[in-house]
Amino acid sequence: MRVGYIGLGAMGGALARHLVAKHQLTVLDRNLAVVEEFRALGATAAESSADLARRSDIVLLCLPRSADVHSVLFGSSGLAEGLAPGSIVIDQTSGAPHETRGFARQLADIGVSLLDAPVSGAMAMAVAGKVSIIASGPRKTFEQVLPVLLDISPNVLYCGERVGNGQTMKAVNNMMNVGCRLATLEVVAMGRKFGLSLEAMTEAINHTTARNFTSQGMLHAIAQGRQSTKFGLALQVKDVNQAISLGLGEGVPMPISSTIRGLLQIGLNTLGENAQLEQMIGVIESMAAARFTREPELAHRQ
Amino acid sequence: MNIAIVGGTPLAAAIAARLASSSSVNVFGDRARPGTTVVASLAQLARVADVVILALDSGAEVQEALFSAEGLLVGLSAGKTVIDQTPGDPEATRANAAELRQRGIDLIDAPLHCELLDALPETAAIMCGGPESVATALRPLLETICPKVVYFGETGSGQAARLVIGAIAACNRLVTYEASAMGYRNGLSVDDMAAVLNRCSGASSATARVLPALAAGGRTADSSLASVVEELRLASLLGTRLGAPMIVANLVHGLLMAAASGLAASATLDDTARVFLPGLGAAASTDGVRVAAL
Repeated sequence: MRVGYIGLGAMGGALARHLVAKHQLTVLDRNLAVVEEFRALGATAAESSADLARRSDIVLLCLPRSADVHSVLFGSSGLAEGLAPGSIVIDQTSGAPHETRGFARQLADIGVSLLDAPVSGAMAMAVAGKVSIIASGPRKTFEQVLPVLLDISPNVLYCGERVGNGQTMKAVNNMMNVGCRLATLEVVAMGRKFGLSLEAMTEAINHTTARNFTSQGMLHAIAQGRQSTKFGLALQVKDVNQAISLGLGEGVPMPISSTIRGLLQIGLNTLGENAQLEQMIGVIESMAAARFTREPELAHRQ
Repeated sequence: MNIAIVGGTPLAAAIAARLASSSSVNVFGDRARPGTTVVASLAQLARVADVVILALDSGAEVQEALFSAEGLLVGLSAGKTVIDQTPGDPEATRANAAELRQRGIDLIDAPLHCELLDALPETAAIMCGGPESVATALRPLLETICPKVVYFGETGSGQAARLVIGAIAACNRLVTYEASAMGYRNGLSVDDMAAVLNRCSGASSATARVLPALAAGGRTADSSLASVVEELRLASLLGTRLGAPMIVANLVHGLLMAAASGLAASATLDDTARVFLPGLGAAASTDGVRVAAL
């Protein structure tokens, strides 16, 4: 099948790599070094989004924000200029569901279908082909593209006919992930100040209802001196803002999410726009004047 | 081994049930349970037992049971051991241990965290603090109550660890409530969220237990909401004492306090779903998650 992929960043690149040997793949990214890597693997480099559209039956996108998706779709030399009726766009961006529904309506006018199919999982899982793909959109279209999604990962979840449901689910997932992440870190930091060992806390947390994705991944990684996330903090803030706006739009109070947003924003403002989510570990440590691994300097002992 | 269990709490009942087949279990007052012997007074209970387990409601009750005029201390002699499984303040536990130590009696703190005692020993752990030799000697007994026993160090550290566990567990639940309320109001069904989120990075013990129970009915917690709020109060106090900000956990404490004020005294954590997820269970608008492969 003729497949196009736009957005070969950390996540998009890891996803597209699974398609290169299995399809006639055309790629596009602003980072020409990454494009060159894909060419070396056998992919074709497109000159523009419109050019990529002409060379593809299915186009996948993995971009930072819905605004980027809009300009790739409808900007000058955008996908819409080259997409033939009957072709399909799969948006893997963690975008805003209502904007994605708008894109789907605009594309329908030219006979093109759109699905949203954001992914969840650590970068290592994307590389290993085990990431969860959360798809939604017209079932017939979903069934047509399923073989391509399965080439990326066998963990494909379909969340219904309504475009954007996958992205809503992704927003719920992101909020739960980062909410539990910061809560776990700040409370474990308190335990460290008391003098409790990180290893013993991690063991107990994972045997009780305190267990979560962070306790099973990041806490072990901190103890072992490993990195466990590879995600820009600015994008994390964007995801949380999106989740809060989805909540407030429907009258749902989001006090915990808003607090989490504030903490992440402090981290981003302090560390700068290139900061990584992983650096929030250090932010939480300095806020508590505690260390996760070393003997706490301000240990409370009697 | 002769064991005494002090307390009329559901936890005391669960501990008695777990120990009855392997130990001689003595209880006090009108709290006779299958396989236990009823003793006339706390002092008498302390005399007949080698090990006294405290499973009371609060630190104040522990003080009363140990030190009142006809309390355990009247019957406790040097060489005996007290295991305090009552959730409480690490400082108070240290003070009690120091007092007993002067009389040659050891005290270890070994609170249990388990949201659903009916499911014990699943998803539960005992956090243990106190002299290591005493904790090691009592480990087989503690493991009979709950197979996962984690030793944390000096006296009071078991209590501190339990506050860590309790605070994170409460955060897991309220983060899950808040985010799933957002998903629900934006058109996702609870069933779909349970199916997807447990396979994604938002997964926690709350998505695994609470979301399916919301969708299908069923209990995930049997300890009282008041006891959870008290636990979070103690965690917040400890954070204040140590100079740890605890921004999210303190917010969750406040939210649960507010929720509790509008619920019956018998409410559990499960009842807070009505507050944080009002109207849930109305329309499910998606057509069901399909796991495409596997």
